Amino acid sequence: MSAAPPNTARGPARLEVLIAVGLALVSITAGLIAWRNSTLSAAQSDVTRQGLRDVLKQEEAASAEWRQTYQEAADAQSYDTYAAGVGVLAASTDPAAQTQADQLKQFLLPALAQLSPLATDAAYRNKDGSLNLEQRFKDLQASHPDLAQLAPQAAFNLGDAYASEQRWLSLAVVLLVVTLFWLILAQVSGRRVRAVMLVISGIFYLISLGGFGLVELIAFILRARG
Amino acid sequence: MEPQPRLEQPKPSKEPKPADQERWKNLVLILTVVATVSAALVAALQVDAGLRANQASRDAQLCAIQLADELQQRGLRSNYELTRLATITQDRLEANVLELTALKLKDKNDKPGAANATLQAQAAKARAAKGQATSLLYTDPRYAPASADGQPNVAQYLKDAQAQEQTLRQQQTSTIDAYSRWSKKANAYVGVWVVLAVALFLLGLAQGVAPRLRLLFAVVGVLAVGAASLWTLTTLLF
Repeated sequence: MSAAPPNTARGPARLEVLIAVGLALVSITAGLIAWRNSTLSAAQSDVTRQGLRDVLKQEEAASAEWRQTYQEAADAQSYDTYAAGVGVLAASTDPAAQTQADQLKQFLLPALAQLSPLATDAAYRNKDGSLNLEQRFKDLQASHPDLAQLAPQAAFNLGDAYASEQRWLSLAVVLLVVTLFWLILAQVSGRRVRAVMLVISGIFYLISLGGFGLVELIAFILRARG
Repeated sequence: MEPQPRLEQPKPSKEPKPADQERWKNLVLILTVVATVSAALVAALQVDAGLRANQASRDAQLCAIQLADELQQRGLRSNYELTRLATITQDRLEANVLELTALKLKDKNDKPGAANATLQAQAAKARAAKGQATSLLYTDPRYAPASADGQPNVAQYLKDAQAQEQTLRQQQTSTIDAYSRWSKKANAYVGVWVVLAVALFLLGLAQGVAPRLRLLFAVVGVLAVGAASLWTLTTLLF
């Protein structure tokens, strides 16, 4: 039977094993956080792209709706001015003018009214008789509920949340590197202080690990709340 | 008495002792780890600057889309109001001309012709009045003419119409400036990283060479770390 090694030799050997395990753990954790950072970066790019695409869709639709609104407004104005002129002709005592007014009322004004809902619909008139273009625009927008459901700002906010999470995770990586620093110091230092440095590195590792978990938890709760 | 033979003193060996070979190794190792921690900090700063640059870039793109939309809407609004103004002016001029015609016909004793011209003038006036009653250029106090026969302040209207566009343009300029600033910082941090990589390379080499050279490599490595720290500080502050 071989004699057991003395206790004085067993202690440092155990510490060296612990340091090696610590180095492996820190490296794996740093890799995990780097992977998480990478997925967040990709997700941030995706939501930002989606937000910009939604903004483009909405602005494109809004442009088309404003174009239609102003076209209809121009047609309604034509109707109004012709109606005012016809009113003068109809009110005159000249039979020819009255006949002309009757003909215009019968054929021209209905044709002009058909060009624009703003011409005759009282819902699009203000109290002073001017056209309520905002109301017409709102109604046109309401006819595209799919576009109203797009929420680019929500996508941008989500992107900002991902960016914030990435910032905190990069701090966790810095803490991990500090852990690495103390582990290396423990490896090269004398036997007396080795255990102390190992404990310090353990504390830093726990802080960075706890920070990582906390950041993920807070981010999850904030995303769940929307 | 015979003199005792003197013991020869051993000559000092030129071979370095194992303890000398290990000199400065721990210091170099600590410097290496310090450089690694610095690199991690710079990486965190680079991530932050990159994220801020991305956000500014997104905001600049958003402003560009909104600016394009505003330009198109301003074109539609201005076109609508100015076309109306042209129609109103045309009706008013037509009414004036028809009134003059009626006076001329009256002078020539063409009473039916004069009555007809007067009626047409009244119709044109009514059209112009209807247009004026609902036109922004005639009803808004900012642009409305001072007198009944005056012209609206079109220049002021066009200036006001550009206000929103100017605001968006300023926003876009500031976001582009922010993007440029953060992008430059992010690029500078990559440069710092390269210097730190050189420092790490030198410190790594220092581990494997003779003690004298080791110290030289370590000093150059420390200088590189110092330069990187200075660069980081200036990038951070300016």
